Amino acid sequence: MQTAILEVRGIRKRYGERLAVDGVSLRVATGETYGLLGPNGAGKTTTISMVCGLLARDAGDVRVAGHSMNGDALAAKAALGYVPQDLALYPDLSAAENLRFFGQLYGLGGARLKERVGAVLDTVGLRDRAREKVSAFSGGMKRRLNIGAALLHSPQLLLLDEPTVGVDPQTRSAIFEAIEELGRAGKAIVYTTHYMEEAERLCDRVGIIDQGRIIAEGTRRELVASIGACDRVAVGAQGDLARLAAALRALAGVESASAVAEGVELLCRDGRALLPAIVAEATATHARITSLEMMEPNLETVFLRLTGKALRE
Amino acid sequence: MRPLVLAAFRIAAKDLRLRLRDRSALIVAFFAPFGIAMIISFALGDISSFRATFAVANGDGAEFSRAFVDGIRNAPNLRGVITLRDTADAAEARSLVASGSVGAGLVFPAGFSDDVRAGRGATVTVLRSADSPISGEVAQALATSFAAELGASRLALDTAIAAGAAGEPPSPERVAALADAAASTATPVRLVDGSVGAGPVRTASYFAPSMAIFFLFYTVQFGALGVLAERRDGTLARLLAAPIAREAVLLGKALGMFVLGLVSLGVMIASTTALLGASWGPPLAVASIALATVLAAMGITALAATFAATEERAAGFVSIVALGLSLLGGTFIPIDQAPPIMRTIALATPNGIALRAFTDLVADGGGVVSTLPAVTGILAFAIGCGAVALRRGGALVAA
Repeated sequence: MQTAILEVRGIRKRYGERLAVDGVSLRVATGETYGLLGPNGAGKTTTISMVCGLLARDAGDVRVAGHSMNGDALAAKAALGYVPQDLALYPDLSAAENLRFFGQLYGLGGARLKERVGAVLDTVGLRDRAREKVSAFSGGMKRRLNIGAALLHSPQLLLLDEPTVGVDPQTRSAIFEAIEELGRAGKAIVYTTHYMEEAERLCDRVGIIDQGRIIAEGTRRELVASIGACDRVAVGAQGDLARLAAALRALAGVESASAVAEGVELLCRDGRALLPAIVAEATATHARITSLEMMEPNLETVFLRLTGKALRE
Repeated sequence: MRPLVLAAFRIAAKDLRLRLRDRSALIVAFFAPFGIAMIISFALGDISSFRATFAVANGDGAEFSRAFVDGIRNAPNLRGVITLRDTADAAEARSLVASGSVGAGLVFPAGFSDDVRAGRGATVTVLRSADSPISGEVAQALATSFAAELGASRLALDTAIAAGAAGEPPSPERVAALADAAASTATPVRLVDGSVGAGPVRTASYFAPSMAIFFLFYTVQFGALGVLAERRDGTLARLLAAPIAREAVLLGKALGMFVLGLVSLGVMIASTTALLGASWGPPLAVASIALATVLAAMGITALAATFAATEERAAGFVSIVALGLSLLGGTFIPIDQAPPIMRTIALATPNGIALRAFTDLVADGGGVVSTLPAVTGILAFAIGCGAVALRRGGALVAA
């Protein structure tokens, strides 16, 4: 493995009775894009917040570029760029003013600051809008600038906390391209998401997080292989989905079945052979089947297999 | 420059830039205080236009009572302000006061000067009317001042007797001459407190500082509210993720509001002086009060803001506190026209102390040294509130 730019060891965070993050450890190498995949409330943002020093840890250590967040926090912070989940910009400042201010906080000044602001504006495609107030920008432009603000000091590690939440498809696509470009440029990236497709597309390795713990980690291929030969069947249905899921779960060969918004998702051995039984159970439970789809196992399948529930359940 | 201070300067500069682009902030900081001070000044006219007639029943007619009456008539700063109307006796004076024909009355009983000379208790009766409270206060202040002067004259007389030549007691004639000399000493009648209403404090000179201080609360609140706004907008996370000390965020906010508060006061001082003819006093003394007042307003607004979870609620709390302090501190009505209890309460508020200090500078003069007690009192509020605010609000930027 290449040199680790980020090492997280057993970090833990408790809010009252609830253990939000329970001993998360991970390691990200230079030039690697690491995905932290999990449903809402799994502990992704809490983990990222501890990694970038926003949130105090109850236990564990974080090292960025060899600097510990415990003893050398400023040096550790200087080596990373953080893109918060929500927009974090000053709407009454122009794009260039926002970038200048954030660049100054990272110690940039003079010609170097000017050069980096220009470069970042080019990267996020806002050079010709540099003097306009951010409040006049579209949502997509703000999102791009939000990422750009974390790139000013050329960080070795970029932390992106669900950067595509609530964005339109066009903006999402632009963000993907920007992240892929940064990955190609050799940046180490930690990307949190609850969208399996994003993790599959962008990440070299993925850590699956649920209830504050990383329950599996590896490349997409490794993770899918880890669950063995397994079919994933998406049953589009209307009616009492919880009852249908329970009935399907009782079928021989079904490993897990969980109700989701559009129907029931199940993992099973030999899905084709089970199709008649699935239809029969839907009829028995008075659910109306609207679609049946057999899919290749993917990270969603892995999550379903490991937790018994869908990512967006 | 230390990184902490440098980062704080950058945050303060950013905040000031944002404030300068915020029209509402500019109105609160610069236009509203001047505008309201101007409206009140035009509406109320001049405080120094106070006029009153006092009835004088001088049953004594000897040197001490004459000295007092002549002192008032001849005092340059009372000429045209207070008119004395001689009456035949105390009953007539009482009648004039009761009917409202005069604002107040002064009654010297027969033998008053003899009593003073003999060291016996001498009484001056001040006749007051509920219809003219200010006149009554002025008459009372003049009588109090006179009593103090008499004490000094008596002391001079006693000292002269004790220092008689060759240890022998002076002759009765010599004693009488000394008494007359002491009694004829000019009694410099003056107002005990220039702010009782008859001093040279113009309306603009009162309402300029009062409005400046009132709006100062709203001007500097942007610093305390700014932390909550940054948290709401997500930028606080970005600041805290940057390689700067967490204290730099609070220091930067404080620095920004300090500069804005000072500039706001400075503009108010310059504009009311130039355009409304307001007097503020010696520049250094004014600056020392202004500095302390800005710090106190910062501490108080920061403390109020720590009781809120959102910027909107914090603004509400600050408004309540600012309005409450202003009502108590004499912002809207000259506090010297209020009952004594309110005057005492006013001096328990930082804005009340500041306002009194500003008006005292105009009325009585004085310099930086004379403002020290007031500045110390105001700074006590600044330090106390600021320390508690820091303790409570520090959690906002804690990891």
